[in-house]
Amino acid sequence: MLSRRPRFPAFLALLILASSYAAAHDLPANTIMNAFVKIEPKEAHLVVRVPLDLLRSVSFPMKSSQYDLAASGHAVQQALEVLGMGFVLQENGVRLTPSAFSGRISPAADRSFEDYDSAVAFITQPPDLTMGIFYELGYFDAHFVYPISSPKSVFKIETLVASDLGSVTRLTVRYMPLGESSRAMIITGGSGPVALNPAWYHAASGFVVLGIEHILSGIDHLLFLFCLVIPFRRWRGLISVITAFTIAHSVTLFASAFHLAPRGAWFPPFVEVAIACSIVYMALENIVGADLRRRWLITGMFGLVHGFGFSYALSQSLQFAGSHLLVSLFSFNVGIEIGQLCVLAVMLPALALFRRLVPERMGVIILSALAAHTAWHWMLERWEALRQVEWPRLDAASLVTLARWAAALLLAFGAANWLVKWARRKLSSGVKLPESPMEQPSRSAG
Amino acid sequence: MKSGRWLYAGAVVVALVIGLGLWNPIHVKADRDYVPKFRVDASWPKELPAPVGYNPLTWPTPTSGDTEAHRWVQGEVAGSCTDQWDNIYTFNRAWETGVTVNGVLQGNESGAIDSNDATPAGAKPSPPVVVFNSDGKTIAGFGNPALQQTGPEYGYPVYLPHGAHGCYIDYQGNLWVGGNGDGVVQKYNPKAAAAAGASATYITQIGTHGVCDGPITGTNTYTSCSETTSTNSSHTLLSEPPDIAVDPLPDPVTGTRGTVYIADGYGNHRVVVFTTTDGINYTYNRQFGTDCGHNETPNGTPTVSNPCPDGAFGHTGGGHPHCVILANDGLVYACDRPNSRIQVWTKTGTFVRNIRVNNFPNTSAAKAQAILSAANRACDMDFYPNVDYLAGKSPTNQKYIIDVDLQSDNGYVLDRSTGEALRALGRCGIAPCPGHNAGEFAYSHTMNVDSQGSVYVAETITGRRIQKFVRVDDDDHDRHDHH
Repeated sequence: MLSRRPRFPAFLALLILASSYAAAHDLPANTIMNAFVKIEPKEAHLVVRVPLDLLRSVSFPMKSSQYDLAASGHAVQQALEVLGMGFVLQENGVRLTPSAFSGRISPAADRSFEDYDSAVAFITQPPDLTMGIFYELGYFDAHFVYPISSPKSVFKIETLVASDLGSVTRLTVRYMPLGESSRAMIITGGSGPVALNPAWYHAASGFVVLGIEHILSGIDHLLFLFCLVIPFRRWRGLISVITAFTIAHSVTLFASAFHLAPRGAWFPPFVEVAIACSIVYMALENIVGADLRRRWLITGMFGLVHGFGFSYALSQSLQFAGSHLLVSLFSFNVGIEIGQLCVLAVMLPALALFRRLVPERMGVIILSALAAHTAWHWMLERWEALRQVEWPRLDAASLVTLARWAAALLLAFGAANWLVKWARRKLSSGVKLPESPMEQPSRSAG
Repeated sequence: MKSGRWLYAGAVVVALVIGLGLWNPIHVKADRDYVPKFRVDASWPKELPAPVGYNPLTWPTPTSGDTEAHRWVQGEVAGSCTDQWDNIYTFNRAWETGVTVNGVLQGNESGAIDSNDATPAGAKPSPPVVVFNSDGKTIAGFGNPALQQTGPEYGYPVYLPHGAHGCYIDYQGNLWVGGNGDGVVQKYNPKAAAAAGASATYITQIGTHGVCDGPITGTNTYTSCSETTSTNSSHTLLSEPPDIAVDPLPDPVTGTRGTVYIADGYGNHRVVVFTTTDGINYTYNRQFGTDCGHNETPNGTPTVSNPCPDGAFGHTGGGHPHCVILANDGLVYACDRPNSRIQVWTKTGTFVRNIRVNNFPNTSAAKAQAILSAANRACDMDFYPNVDYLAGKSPTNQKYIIDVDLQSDNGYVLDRSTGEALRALGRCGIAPCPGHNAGEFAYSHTMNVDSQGSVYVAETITGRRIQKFVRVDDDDHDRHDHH
C-alpha cells in the first residue's frame, strides 16, 4: 500500500545522504543501485533497489544479528524519506515531488528486480517476518509515484545517495517511456541530472561536445592528422584528403553503432595496433616522398580504422542518446570534424612558420621521423597487448562476415575511385583547374 | 591496367558470392563453445593498504603514538571465495604467527611473515580476511587474530578456526570459514565484520572451537583433531573441515533453505549436512562418504593400483574431501584429494559418479606423465561459466570444471563430462607449473570463478598470494547465455 508523504526535515535528509557512508578505510561491497523509471499518462514511477550498505545512516532495528522486520516500520519510513530526497526526478527541469511511496527491506538473494512488474509486485508484498536478513546483507526497495503534466515531457534523473562516495556508486536505470521501447543506461554518482529522454537538440549538442572532446584528447588521431598535413602547403590540397578521412571514419563509426563491427575480445586491440600502423605508414610516406595525389585513397582506408577507434568512446555514451540515435551519431561526427578543423587551424600556420625556419624537405623529414618514432613505440606496445588475445577461429560463419566486409570495402573504393575520375573529367573538360599542390610533383613538397 | 581491373572485378565477385552465402570453401561450422583460455592479470590485486599505526590486534584502531605506515602482507592464502557482487574474499594465515615453545614454533602453519618472508621495515600481517573488489582494490579487512597466550592451548587461536582454511559466501551474503586444524566452521556477516575489524564476531558456528570429532589424547583439546582417530560419525562435532557450501534452494529432506554442506575432510571422511530454519541454529541432518582405508595411488602414480569403493574418500594426507560445491544440476561435487578425483553425489547422499583427474591427452606424453606421477590433482574446483547458482537458476551450461592441482602447481579446464584436461591456467600450459612469477604457482590450493568469468587461484605454502586469470578469447556466447 502506498503511503502519503510524512513530514521530514529536508535539510536533515540531505545531511543523512551526504554523510551516509562513515568508514574512511572501507568501501562498501556493493555500490550498484538498480532502478526502473516508467512513464504513464499522468504519472511517473520510480522503482529503485539500493544496497543497505549505502543507507547506513538509517538505523534499522536489529534482533540479534538480523533485522527486526516486525519493528522496522519507522525506519522504513525514514529510509523512504531519505531516498525520496536522494533520487531527483525532473520534468522539464522542474523537480518532481512524489505523491505516494512504499518500501521494504529485501534479502540479498532476491531477484525481483530483473523486470519492472515483478519488482513492483515484490515491494507491495509484506516481508516474510520469519525470513532472516543479516545486517546490511540485503537491499532497500522503494517505489515512488510522481504526478506529471505530460508523458512527452523531458525527464531527468539524478542520484544523491551516498554522495560522499562520488563516482564509486552507480545507478543502472531502465527507462520505460509511454508507447516506446525501453532503454537502459548506467549513471555514475556525481554525474548531475541526466536526461532520460533528451530532446533531439539536447542530444545533438551533447554529442557534438563529446566528439570535440574525443578528438582533442585522442593523441593518436591527432598525430595521424599531423602526418597527413605535414607535406601540404595549402588548404585546398587537403580538402580531398580530409574529406576521404571524414567519410571513411563516419562509415565505420556508424557501422559500430549499429553493431555491424566485428565482435570479440581481439578487435579493440587490433584496431589500436592498426591506428598506430597508420601513423607509422603516413610518416614514412612523407619521408620517402610518395605521390600525394593518391593520399586520399590511403587516408580513406586508414579512416575506416580510426572510425572504429572513435566508436569505443561513443559506445559508452550512446545510452544517453535517448531515442535520437542517428542525430547523436551525426552530432558526434560533427564534433569530431569541428575538433579536426580547430586542430588544423593551429597546425597549418604552425607548419608554415616551421617552413620559414627549416628548409621544407628537411622539415618534412624531421617532423615525420619524430611522429614515426612515437607511433612505432605505440605499435609495439599495442602489439604486445594484441598477442595476449586469442584470435577467433576461421569457420564458415566468420568467413561469410569477412567476405561481406571485403565486398563492401571493394565496392566502396571502386565507387570512390570512379567518382574522383568522373569529377576530374568534368573539371578538365571546360573549367580551368585551380592550382593545387596535389597536381605538383610530390618531390616539390620538399 | 586491364589485368588490375580484372583482378578487382574478380575479388568483388568472390567476396559477394561468399558474403551472400552462395558458396563457402570452409566446412567447419561455427562453434562458439570455445574452450576458455585465460591469462594472468599480473596487476591484480593492487597494492595492499599500509595504514598508519596499523596493529593487527586492534585494527581499525591504530596503536597510539605509532606514526609509521605498516603495509599489510598476507601469509598463506588458504581460502578464497566470491560474493554475488564479484568481490573476492581471502582467508590467509599471516596472523597465525604461532608462538615458540622451547624453540619450536607452534601453531598450524609457519606462514608468519616475520620469520619466513623478506620483511620490509614495518610490514605486518594482514587481517585474516581481506576483501578485494574485482578491480583488485582492498575494500575491507577483518577477523580476530588473537592467539592464546597461556594455558594448554597456548599458541592456538582464541576465536578464529585454527588452520585457517576455506571460505564461502552464501546466497544471503554471509561469509563462512573453516579450519583444517580445528572442529568448527564459522558464519560471519562480512559487513558487520568489516566495521568491527579485529573485533569481528561470528553470527554462529557449527561444531566446537578447539574440539574435533575424536578422542582428546593429549594435554589440549586440539589433540582430538586427527585423521587417524576421528570417528566420522558425530552429529555435533566436526574434524578439520576445509570447505563449506550453502544451498539457497529448499532442502530435499526438510524443505528449508540455507542447508550447509561441509567438507569434513582433514580429520573425518565425509560431507556432513546441517539444516536450519533461522540461519543461526543448525541441526545435523545427514552425511555421506566413508573412509576408504587406504589411498588408491599411495605413491601418486597414474595407475589406480587399489581402487576405493564408490563413495569412499581417500584415507590419509588430508582433504578427504577437500572441497564441496553445489552445482546447477542439483548435485554435490566433492574433491577426493588423495585419490585425485571428484566425487559426485545427490543432495541426499546417493553416489552418482567419479570424475577422475587423470585424462591429459592435450599435452605431451612427458608432461602428462609428470602430472600423473604426482597426487592431489583434485584439490579444489569450480564451474565455468559460474552460473548464478545463488539465485537457484535452472541448470543450463556449467560446461567446464576448473580444477586446481596442488602438487603439480597448476589449474586445468576440464570437460565436465569426461574430466579431460582441455587447457591450463598456468603459463606453462598443461604441465607442472611451479614458480613464483605471474602465471606460475606454488601450492595452488583453492580457486573460484566470478560472474564475469575471471578465475582466482589462491596459493598456500610458500605461495602466499592470490592470482587473477582473465579470459582472453572470444567469449561473449557462453558467459551470459545461462537463462
